[in-house]
Amino acid sequence: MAQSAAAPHHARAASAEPEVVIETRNLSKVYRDFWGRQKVRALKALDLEVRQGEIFGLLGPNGSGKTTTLKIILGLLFPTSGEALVFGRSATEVTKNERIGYLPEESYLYKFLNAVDTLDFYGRLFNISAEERRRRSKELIEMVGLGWAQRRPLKEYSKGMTRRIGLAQALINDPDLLLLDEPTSGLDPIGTREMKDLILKLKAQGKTIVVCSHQLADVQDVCDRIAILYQGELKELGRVDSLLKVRDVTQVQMRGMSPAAQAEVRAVLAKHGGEMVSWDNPTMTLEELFLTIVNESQARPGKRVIKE
Amino acid sequence: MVVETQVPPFLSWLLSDSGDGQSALTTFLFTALVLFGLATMVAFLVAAFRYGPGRAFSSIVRGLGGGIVDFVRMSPRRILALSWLAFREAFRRQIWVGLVVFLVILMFAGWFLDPSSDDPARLYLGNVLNWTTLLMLVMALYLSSLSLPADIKNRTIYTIVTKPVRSSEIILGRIVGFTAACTVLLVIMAGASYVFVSRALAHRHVVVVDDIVPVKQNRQVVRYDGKTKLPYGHQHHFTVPANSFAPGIELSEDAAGHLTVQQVTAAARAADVKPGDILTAINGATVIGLDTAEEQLAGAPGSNIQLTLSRGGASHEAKVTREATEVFTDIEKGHRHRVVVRWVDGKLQADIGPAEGMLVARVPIYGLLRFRDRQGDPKDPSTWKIRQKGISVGKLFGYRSYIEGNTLAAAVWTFDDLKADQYPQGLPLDASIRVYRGQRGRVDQGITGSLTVVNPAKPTIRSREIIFTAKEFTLDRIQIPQQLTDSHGKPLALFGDASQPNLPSLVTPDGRVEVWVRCVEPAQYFGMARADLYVRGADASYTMNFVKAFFEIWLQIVLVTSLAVLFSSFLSGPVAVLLTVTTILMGFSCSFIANLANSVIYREELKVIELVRQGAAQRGLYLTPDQTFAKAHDLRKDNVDGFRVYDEARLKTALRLELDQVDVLDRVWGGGPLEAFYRLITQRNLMIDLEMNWAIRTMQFLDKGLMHVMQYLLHVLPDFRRFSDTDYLANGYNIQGARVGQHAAVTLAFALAAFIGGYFIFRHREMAA
Repeated sequence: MAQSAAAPHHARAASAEPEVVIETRNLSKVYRDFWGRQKVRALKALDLEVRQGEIFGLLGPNGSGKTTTLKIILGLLFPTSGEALVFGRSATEVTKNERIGYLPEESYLYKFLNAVDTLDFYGRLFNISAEERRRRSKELIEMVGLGWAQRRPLKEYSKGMTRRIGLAQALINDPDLLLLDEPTSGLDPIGTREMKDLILKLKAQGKTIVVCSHQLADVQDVCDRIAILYQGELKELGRVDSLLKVRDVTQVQMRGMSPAAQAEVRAVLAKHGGEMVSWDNPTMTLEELFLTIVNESQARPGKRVIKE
Repeated sequence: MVVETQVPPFLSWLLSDSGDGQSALTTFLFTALVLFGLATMVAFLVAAFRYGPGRAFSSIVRGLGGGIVDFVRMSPRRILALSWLAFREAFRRQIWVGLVVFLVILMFAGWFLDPSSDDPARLYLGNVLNWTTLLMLVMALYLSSLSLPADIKNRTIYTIVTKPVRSSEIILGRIVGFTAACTVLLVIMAGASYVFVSRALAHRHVVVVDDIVPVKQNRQVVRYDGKTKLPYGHQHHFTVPANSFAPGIELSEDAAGHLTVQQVTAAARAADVKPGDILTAINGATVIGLDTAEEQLAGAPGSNIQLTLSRGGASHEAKVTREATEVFTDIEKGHRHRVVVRWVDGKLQADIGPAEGMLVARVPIYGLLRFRDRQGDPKDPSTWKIRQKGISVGKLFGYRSYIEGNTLAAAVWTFDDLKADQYPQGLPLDASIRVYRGQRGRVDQGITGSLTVVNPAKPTIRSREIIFTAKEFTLDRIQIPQQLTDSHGKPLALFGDASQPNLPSLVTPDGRVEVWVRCVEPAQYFGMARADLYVRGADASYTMNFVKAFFEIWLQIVLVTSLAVLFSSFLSGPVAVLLTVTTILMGFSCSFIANLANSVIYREELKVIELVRQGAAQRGLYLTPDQTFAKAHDLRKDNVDGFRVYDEARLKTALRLELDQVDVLDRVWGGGPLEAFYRLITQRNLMIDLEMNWAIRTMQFLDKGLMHVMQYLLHVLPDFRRFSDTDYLANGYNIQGARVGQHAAVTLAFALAAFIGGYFIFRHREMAA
């Protein structure tokens, strides 16, 4: 794992396909009430693959099923049908957690413990030896910059500090797969920047990272691939750079062209009935894509054809 | 209190048949198997309803397989981490408040507990034990039933279950952690209780000089009678024989027969007696042995005595004064004091020592009780069976049987396995015999009874009657000495005397002896049960007994904690609290529920037994269970009224369960819940029969069904009342090891079941739902 982790993410293009870390097959989840009556269909036949070494963004408006997906992958929820595999093992299996780090939406930690005790406790849950625990928790506290507050109980922490200790807790086992639920929520711009840098750094270490967020700008900055969910259905899936390319528009900007050459180009354009603005494929922001998909889905509900 | 239940040795309880074809272990295994089967079936049905039978089956198989893995591969480090967290959580949730409450109670308990009560030890011990139990169980309940639901609600459980933590570790961690937290509290409470009780009961009395009065016979002082002052609500008396004073030297005898002075008082030292001196003669007479020397040393207070001592080979004389003696006071409020009486300046001074015998752990050794009727006949003339019961004096506590005074009626206890070397002072008996007064007499005075020791092999060897007085609710100590006489004044030995082999002994060589108790006064009755008279073995350690009692409280904590964790694995906090409390309350009323269920289920059969027995009693007959059954069968064949509706198989069961032995008034009348409710709203007496119609029949049918369910429930309910051995400690009885073992095993069984159940529920629960 650590070997292939060193490979840069461009290696995806190489002939050998990286290992599939998360795979969901026909994953569906129906929430029922006490009497077993159907309340919500939170997920409808989701097929996803997350490959090793990539940062995968799971996007969608509130109630789109992204948190449900994450919880099923973690084994906090059981699928109604279909299955989720993590490292090739069923998501309900406990042993898969050995290689997973999870940063929950809000850091659900024991508020009466301090940072050192918290990390020590979670370290013990991974069956890590005392010496190793001490070393790692010291490292992690330094990394998230909480050294000055490590002996204070978590209930005295600000939201940003809680986020940081939450992240440290998720990294205590040096996981291969990181599941981050809204990693930048509650962080100030500097904190957000640091978090994003950290995510990229972890990726550089070869970790696979799944980010679940509505902070689209953040996702746009870090993710290699994204999936957009809406009302429990997969609406878009692909590489961020290609998804954001507007393919039916070409932008051309030229320099150093002789007037004759320019006339020639214009003639070609005129021949095809076009007018040159600039020569390029412009990109839109992820926000625009997101809103387009949401609007489109509202206009035409149902499965959207995804081309990758 | 008398100890009424007999406890078989632990291993035989656990492993061998207890009469109904099952040992404790097989009962446990069988119950566990049934529960397991039921749970699997329910799980299958639920899963099949949700996902269809195929997937249900595979997930059940996977769940069971995973379960085994989850139990086998538990990691001690993780369990410890989770227990440590639970422990921290317990103190964060301020369980020490319970401790503070307890200490405050102790601080002010002195105001409310009356040290002049009949048995202050029982009062004080009972109080601290009850408070400890109450507070600790509430704490355990509060901690363990609210913790898991709170974690699920706060979602802190997300960060736990997304780690490689097995559900088994989560459940076990909670149980262990909360138990540990409660243990810390309990240990502190136990320590505080121990100190409190010993300090509260510790007292010394003061005796002033005027309270020691010489008693003269023939103008000679034969003894001194003393009494203490009365500051603790009671007074002790003591008697000092006039010739029991000795000089202040302590002697020891070595193998060669030399008597060496060990310790001396100041007065003896002044007379030139030093430790290490060897005593050779007293008043000129050479000493022979320690016993005779001590006899020679004893005499009237203040009198002088001439000692010849040898120091380093040189002999010298010393004139010492007989200055002190040691006696015990009488027993009052369950204790006595050691009294050292000194001759100081021509007067007697008494120093009273601390209370002794207040905090004890008696070890009763029970015998077998049989009765003789007023003709002295051991057998019942109607059944030709040995009488196990005396006569009934009406509606009193049915547990005891009675014998009439001034007749040949007797209660005969047979003790076995008595060994001479265990009772060098003779046989100590504790008796608490109830009195039923046929005539008033003087109520504040006891009724006279007699006690005879008989050799069971040769009943002609019997001691002269020992007269005692039985008073209600007191425990009398009767010491049977080694040397006795028979009614003709001929000497008898209790255990046989090695030096006089021809002396008849009362205890047979295999250690059996009979004790006959008769009531002497006419028209008065003695009531007795097996446990009312026992041989008192050597006392066990009070401190150990104290520890055992608190250990049993600890077992209750473990039980409550496991049950609460089990319930909180699938219920919300408040509901889990309610269910645990319900379980505890039902556990406390197990015997009532059993009685209720039997009374409802065997209603017709009990009525039939009643009718048959009544008919027989009118003709003066006693019917055995088999005869009762046969008679009912005949009457049913003859189509007699009232014999048509009962079920023969059930009648057989009822007779086998000895339900007919339950007193009529102890039965639960008025039917099951539905019928009782019907009677309540229609204002019908509980005892009268209802006119039968289809509605009543349906009601009774449903009630019976409900009661069957209750009977099954009884198999899995912890019988909390039996767990509480605090009475043993409070009343000064040793808690047998086998009892503690039994309770520990039962607790372990329940905790194990709760653990496994909790695991399976928690494992298959969606944490985020």
